[in-house]
Amino acid sequence: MIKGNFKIEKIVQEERSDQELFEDLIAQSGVGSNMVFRTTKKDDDDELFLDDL
Amino acid sequence: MSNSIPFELSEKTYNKLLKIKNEKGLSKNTWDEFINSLISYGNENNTNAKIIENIIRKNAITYWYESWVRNFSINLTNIWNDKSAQDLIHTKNHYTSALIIGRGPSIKKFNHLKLLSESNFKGSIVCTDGSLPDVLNAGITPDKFNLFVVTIDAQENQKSLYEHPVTLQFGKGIKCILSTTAHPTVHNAAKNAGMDVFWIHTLFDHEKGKKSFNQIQGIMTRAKNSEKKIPAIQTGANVGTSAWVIAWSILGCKNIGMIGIDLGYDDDISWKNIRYHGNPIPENIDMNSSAFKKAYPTVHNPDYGCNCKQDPLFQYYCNALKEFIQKTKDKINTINATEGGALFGDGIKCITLKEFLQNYNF
Repeated sequence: MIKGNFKIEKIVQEERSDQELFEDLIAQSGVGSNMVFRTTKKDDDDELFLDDL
Repeated sequence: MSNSIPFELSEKTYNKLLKIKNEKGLSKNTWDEFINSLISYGNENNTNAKIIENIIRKNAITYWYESWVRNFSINLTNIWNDKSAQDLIHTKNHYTSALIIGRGPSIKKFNHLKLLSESNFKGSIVCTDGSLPDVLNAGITPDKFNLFVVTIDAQENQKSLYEHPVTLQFGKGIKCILSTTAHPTVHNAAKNAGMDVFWIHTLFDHEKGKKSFNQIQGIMTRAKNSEKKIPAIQTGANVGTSAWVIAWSILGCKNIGMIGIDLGYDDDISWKNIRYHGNPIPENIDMNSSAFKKAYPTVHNPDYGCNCKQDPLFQYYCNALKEFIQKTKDKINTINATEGGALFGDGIKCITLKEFLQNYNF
């Protein structure tokens, strides 16, 4: 067993990064009505349509 | 200033983490940077498009999952008894065209519905549900055109589109393609309007295999009749993209035109007046900041020579549709006749509606 200590740095009031602000804006923008799903297939359209589930 | 929290890891876990850290090329980075790369949407492999997709997808499944399961369970008896969209596949004619109708701002700007209603377009017209009353009011009715309407949304308020007086007047003769996760009252309203209903599954978690709800839907819909197949489509997260997928995959059309598929807002409307996707832009946001410009870009469409504004949801929808079109460009001709908006690029031919009606009227 390896034992260690997490040193937790206290958050100093600092400006949020551009990336964090961007992610916040996306999260607050809404949920849409459905979603895209992903498979590992990248080069064909098999994941766009199935004759039957 | 820092606090220390003692922790213990098994050597096995530590070695696994160390291996991943090295494999990610972060052997020289701090553990804080490594852990952040695992938990942040913005890890080094993510583009802005991927970040947008990841966040909205996570929010969508959290928000909608229970509605999808509930709606599907209530719909099940009707899914067993009504027609499958598979029945439409047998009517395929690969030489016909289809025209998808959304309700983006260009449709009014260019008076497209009037132009279409005065045409003798012979192909299939696939309306998004939100556009249906305007389409019918413009004189694009099932006695003159081969008319379909699509609903994929799960919320109950979609039924009002099917209860609209003009929908009740012309419902008979319209073919309604309905997601098995649509609200049950939408099915009732479509039937009450005299429509023929054809069920379709909408894919959202099929990649999870047998544990996915999509797979469970398939098992349950075949429980009573193992021969009955219900096709499943990618929605691209919105009904316009669903209509495009349906046009080629189910109706078998090779040439697919689109109007009212702006996937953005007119550039001359200020952000303060835009509420289309419900959530207003957070107050006190610096609209000149880099973060805002990435989340809410103004896009130049070089094919139509116009600009349009996009919010994150429109970016998400547009990125997905562009990707789908790119994947199918060798077998499907996608013709954008919207005359505005953000949809352009690889595999997309941008022309006017007048040109589409002249060249693809079959």
